[in-house]
Amino acid sequence: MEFFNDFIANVGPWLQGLLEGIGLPEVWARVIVMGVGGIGLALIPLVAVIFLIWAARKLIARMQDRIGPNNSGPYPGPYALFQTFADAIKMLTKEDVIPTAADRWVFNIAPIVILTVAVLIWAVIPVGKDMIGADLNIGIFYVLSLGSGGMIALMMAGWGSNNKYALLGALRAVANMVSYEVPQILSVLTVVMVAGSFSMQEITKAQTVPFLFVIPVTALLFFVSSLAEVGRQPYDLVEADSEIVAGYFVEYSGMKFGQFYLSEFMNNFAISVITATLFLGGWKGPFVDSVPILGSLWLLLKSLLVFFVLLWLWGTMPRLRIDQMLNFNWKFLTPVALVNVCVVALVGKAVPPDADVWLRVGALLGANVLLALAVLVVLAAAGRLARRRDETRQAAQVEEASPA
Amino acid sequence: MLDQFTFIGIFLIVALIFGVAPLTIAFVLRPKKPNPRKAETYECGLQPHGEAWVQFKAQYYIFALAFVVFDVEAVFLLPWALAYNQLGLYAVVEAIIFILILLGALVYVWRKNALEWM
Repeated sequence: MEFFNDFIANVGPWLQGLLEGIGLPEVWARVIVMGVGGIGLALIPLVAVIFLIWAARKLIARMQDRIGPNNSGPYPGPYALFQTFADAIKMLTKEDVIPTAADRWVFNIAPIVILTVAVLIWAVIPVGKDMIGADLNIGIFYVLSLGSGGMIALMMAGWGSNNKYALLGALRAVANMVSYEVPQILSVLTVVMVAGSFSMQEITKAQTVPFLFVIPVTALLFFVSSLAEVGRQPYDLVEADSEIVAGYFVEYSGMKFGQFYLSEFMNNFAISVITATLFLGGWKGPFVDSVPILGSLWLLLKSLLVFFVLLWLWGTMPRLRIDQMLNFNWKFLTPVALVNVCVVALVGKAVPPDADVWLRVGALLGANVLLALAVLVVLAAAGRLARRRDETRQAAQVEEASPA
Repeated sequence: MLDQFTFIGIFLIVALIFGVAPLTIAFVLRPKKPNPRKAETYECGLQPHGEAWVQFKAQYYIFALAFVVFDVEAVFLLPWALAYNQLGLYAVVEAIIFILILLGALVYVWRKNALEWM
């Protein structure tokens, strides 16, 4: 039982000892242990995604008053649980069509790049107490930098397809990701300021109170901008079915399409896990100190909660136009994020970290609530101003149309 | 820390294998019946008019420029955020002035109507 209490932490040294026992040099044993650990780590999002796709279809169907995959009909497995496997087999056996006009190399490499990047994010995500691929001291920064890798893959796909829909989709995707990276980085900045480290483990450990209840404005900014980063509703204009068919992957067929689909879901799950880690306390929870494996369960529950919110938005939000999307970012999220950084910086200095924990939490939370209220007041005033301007313009038009 | 980055290197290889493996399996399993009609560019059943590698809206470029401004700002601010707990009030106020100047830049871009999608 002792062994399973801290399963992953024990399996590493055990395998290392085994390999050294059969006469391998220490370095190679270490490399093999890391390789096995890496494969295990990479399997987590893959397995999770297979069931998340099912859950997403089921839940969104319910939200839209449909039944979704179910026991009746052609769906395989109880409650259509194996539908995703059936889809995967179908994609694997589909013919691969490469358009003659496409730039073959770029076109073929794009799906590999996008899936590689989606897997690479998992290296720094703490999946449990002491369970982390690599506890980099630049952890969250590494995640942000990989976002740009995904961007390049989308641009490769869109440009390499030599299709107008694909190019439009790719340009929208890049404009989207580039814009929303600004509030995302700025919200990470506040988290780093409060936690005092880039390392994902340190950020988790710093959360005596989950950061959602310390810096809620930052949590909201991060979640919204991450949604845009992965192109999930309401930001799905990058692959809007009704206007640009499927966006950057319109020309892809078979497993290449499957890789785009898979990486999209993996990214969705990744942002759920990262949000849970940064703002909901990650693997922290009751009994984690005595039974470390419980940490993974807490993290899973928390990230499923975030994923549910994501699905909720997916099922209910209408799609934004590109001008609305850019306006929302540059005229709302970015200024709010900048002011948020200033507010947290000032309050954090006024109540230093060595002060009483509850005093610090209260001060930061109070400042955040005040900031949110101020933002609402400014928004209401701006809205009133815009409405009044509209009314005067309409009145002028009516006067012009009917001369006395 | 070097150990951690070794893991990232090995994980990169694992991730590449994960990226290539499905395509390799598909390569073995899939049928191959090429047909010039099939390989035409998709355009809702119409003959594509010219190719897609054309000039596109300059507006994207302006947003990219605005992004670069804020990304460079982030490069300066991230080390500051990391050292924040050790910094005195002076450094914090200075960083806030820096942020306010950038907020000024945002207001300038806004007033110039560069943020309107036309």
